[in-house]
Amino acid sequence: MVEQDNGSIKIGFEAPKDIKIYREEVYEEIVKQNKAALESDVNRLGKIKTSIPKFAGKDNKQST
Amino acid sequence: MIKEYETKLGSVKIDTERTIIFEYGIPGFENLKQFVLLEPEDTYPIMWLASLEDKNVAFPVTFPQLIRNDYQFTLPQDLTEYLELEKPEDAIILSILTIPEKEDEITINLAAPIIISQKNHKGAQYLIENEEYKIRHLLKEELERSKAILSVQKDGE
Repeated sequence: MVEQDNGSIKIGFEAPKDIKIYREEVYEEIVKQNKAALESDVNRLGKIKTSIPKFAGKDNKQST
Repeated sequence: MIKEYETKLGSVKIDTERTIIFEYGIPGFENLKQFVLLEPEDTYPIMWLASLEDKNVAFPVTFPQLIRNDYQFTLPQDLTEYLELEKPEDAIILSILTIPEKEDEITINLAAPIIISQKNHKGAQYLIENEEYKIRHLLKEELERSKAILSVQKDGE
């Protein structure tokens, strides 16, 4: 956003500011989730692990 | 060198070469730099990324591709350079699980996986900029989705 005001130019930082806020929010969400993950109970794992397949599908790829 | 550490899973003897350094920390735990991946047989494929500096800190993790079988993303060059990754196999990709009391409410963080380099033993939690992947996905829904994809693939063979 750029606007003229008595010959001087005001430059608004709306777009970059929005992006930064978004990133900080996401960062805070990651922090929150990491903290929640710590509350996980070791003893509950035995039960749920049976629902997770041991091997992934054949088309599974990770690119770097 | 084998050293004994106190972790959330109790006292463990590990080779110091297995130490993973999170130089930039893990969001919320920036002060902790040294972790180890514990793989107890009785919970595998759920593993624990355990702090060697704070025995209260251990994140349950698993391989995201077991949960979302078409999971993929691209790492930026600065990160691949930092982790000295030359090929995908050089990295171990893990997702943090959150396991509340109710089994149906277990979530997996597909937006911010943990990337561990097998080359230089450094790690980082990386945020994928893809709206497809959220910080909280219900494990149950993901497993059902993956199962559906696999059965379609089988039918096509």
